[in-house]
Amino acid sequence: MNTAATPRQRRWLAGRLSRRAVDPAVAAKRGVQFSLLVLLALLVAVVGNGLFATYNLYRSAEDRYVRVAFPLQTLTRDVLFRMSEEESAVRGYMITSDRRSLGPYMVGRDAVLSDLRQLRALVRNRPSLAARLQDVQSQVRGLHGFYDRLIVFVADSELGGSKLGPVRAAREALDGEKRSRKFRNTAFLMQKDIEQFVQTTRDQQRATYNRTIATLSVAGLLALAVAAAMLFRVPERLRRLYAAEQETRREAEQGANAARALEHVSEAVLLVDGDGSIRFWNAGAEQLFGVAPTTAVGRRAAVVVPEYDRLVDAAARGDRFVPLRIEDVERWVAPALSTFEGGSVLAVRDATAGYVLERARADFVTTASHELRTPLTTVYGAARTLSARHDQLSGEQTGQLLVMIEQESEHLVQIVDQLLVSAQLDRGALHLDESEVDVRALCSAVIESARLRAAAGREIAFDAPPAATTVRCDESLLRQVLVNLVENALKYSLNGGRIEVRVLNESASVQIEVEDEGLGIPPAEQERIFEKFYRLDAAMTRGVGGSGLGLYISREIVTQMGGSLSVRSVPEVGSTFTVTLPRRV
Amino acid sequence: MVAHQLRRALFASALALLAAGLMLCAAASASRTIIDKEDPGTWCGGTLWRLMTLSDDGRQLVDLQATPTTIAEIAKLEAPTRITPVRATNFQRQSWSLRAVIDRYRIASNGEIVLILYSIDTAQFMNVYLPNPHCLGPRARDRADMIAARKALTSRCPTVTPAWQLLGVTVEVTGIGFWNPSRATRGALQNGAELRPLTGFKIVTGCGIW
Repeated sequence: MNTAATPRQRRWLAGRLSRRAVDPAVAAKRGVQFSLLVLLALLVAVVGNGLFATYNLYRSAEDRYVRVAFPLQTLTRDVLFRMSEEESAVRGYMITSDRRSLGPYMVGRDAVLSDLRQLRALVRNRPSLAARLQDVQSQVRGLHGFYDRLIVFVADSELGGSKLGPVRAAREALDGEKRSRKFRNTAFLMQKDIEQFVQTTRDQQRATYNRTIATLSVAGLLALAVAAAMLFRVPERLRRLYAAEQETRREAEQGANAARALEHVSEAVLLVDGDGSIRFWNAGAEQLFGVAPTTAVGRRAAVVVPEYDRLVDAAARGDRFVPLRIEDVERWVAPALSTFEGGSVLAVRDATAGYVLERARADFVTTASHELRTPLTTVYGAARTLSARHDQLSGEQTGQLLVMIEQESEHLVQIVDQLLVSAQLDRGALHLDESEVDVRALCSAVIESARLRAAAGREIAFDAPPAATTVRCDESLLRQVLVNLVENALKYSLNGGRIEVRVLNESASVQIEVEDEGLGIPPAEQERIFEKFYRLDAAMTRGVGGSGLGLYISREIVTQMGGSLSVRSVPEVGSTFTVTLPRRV
Repeated sequence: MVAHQLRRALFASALALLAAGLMLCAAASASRTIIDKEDPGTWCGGTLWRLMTLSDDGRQLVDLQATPTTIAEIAKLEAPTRITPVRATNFQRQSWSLRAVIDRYRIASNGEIVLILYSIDTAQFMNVYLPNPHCLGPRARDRADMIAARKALTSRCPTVTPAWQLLGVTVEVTGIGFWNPSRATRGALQNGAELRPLTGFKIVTGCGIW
């Protein structure tokens, strides 16, 4: 039998028990995650901004200033310087006609052209500077052409001694002044442009620096604020989370323990939600209603247990016993209902045994009252007759009344003794006064006594070994047992019939059999007749009375003596009760 | 004494008149020559004429992909011992380009324009020639470039005269190597090397280009 709760039941129970604890935990987790994400984003922003700003500063300083602005300034100054030297060299050559004077011109010309090439590359992406450089280049080219012209004119004298060339050169030299001045002006303008460019670069650097500092400061302050907030809030949240987790664990443990306990409760326990669906179904319920938990859980209670509504109503009324027919067997159950917000728990206890005992007690009262009342009525009637009419009664009649009073009194004593012994057995206070008892003699005495009380014509045979048959036991109690058995044989042999008492002397035990030819006992009731207050003819339809304690007491007494009491019976044929007593050394 | 002075004055006057007459004759002759030289025909010819106009049989041997050079490098070339109307040297089979300054220029009797180039770096002179377009027959290779080169000069610079004129223009020229047997010409290199004919002519500065 599966006594464990199904996974679905466990999840439902755990969900109900921990629902309150999960929500704050999830909320706390999300809060911490969000804060960490914000902090991470800010840190990434700070690092990214720092790297980007550093790169910008580096690029603006390196690319624009070190690689562009500074070379621009240097190269422009170099061009100016070289051109000035070229002019001086050409003038010197014109004066001296000494080619050595042209050295600075030839060196400077190549250097200037090289400088201009470098300048062209540097201002490629700077249109204003490129335009200015274009002017400079044009004027440099013109000046170089002009200088070449002057030089070749001076050199012309080498061809044929003509002075025409030098004279022409001297005349045109004045034009060179104008050209040089114009070039210098343009070069100065370019220098100014470059200085402006340098200044702009510096301004951009400063702006980048300021912007970076501001951004880093803001992001850093925000990160600091988030970190501080987390420092104050996260530990508290963690503490709450831990406390909530502890509480959840406690509740879950309690819930699990409750579920485990309910699994082992013999009563049927049903947990039904507000919609009337079964959420928990323990092993007791499975045993009582014959429905497995996997089948019952999730279905409506009224479908699984057709009598559910009646049980709930009975529980609400406080009924102690409710009849219930399960698989064609009538049972008496005791329902108990507990309701809570969102559901209810119905506990159903199988009270069939209690109900039977209750009914037996009620029957006993009826029977005992009847049993006591009959002899009492007889005694009361005989006593009143003797009291009121003692002067009218003959001596024989008086004697008969007195005998009647004596016999009925003995009957009353017998009934009361049975009740006392029963009470002693219930308390476990029955005392055995053991001795060596001659069973043969004891049986003979009981039979003789029974014969005296038996109706005329009743035969009680006795068969025993010739020699004495002794066994160690309480003689008085054994007598009571034998009296019970013999009197039962007489009572239930309504049509007469033979009664035989046999004593069998076995090696290990002594057996006493009481056989009758009476009503017999149905097989289903052959064990129940030994139950307390159980009577074969409880309604006394056959006029057979009794307390229902005789056989119960007899079996208990024999059992306490270490023996046993059993019955063999065939209805309408007869019964044989066998007392087996062990021989003890 | 006076007679002596008079004789000297008369002699001087006679000389002056003679000089003036000679100058007038020269000027008249020059003006006629300019006109005549533009006219093709009798001036186009000679032993080396076809080499000068890139219309010789070996013209196809010439590599027209110009190689940069300088006057100094050309001056170092060794001239052939015997100059024939055949392109016998690598110098003659290659197109060369160089940058220099034109010192003087004039138009020759055969209609060619002679340019005296000057290298400022090495103080060397060299002659190059722009051929007379009227002497460029249908056999002439790269005829159009030769004509264009000549026009590049004549269209921007002062009119070319038979007399030498100072020019002072920085140019980039391209031409075919040529050995001139006559090395006494004004501005000629010692080895007689020339670029003749010029197939490319570009003014860098001068003649209105600054």
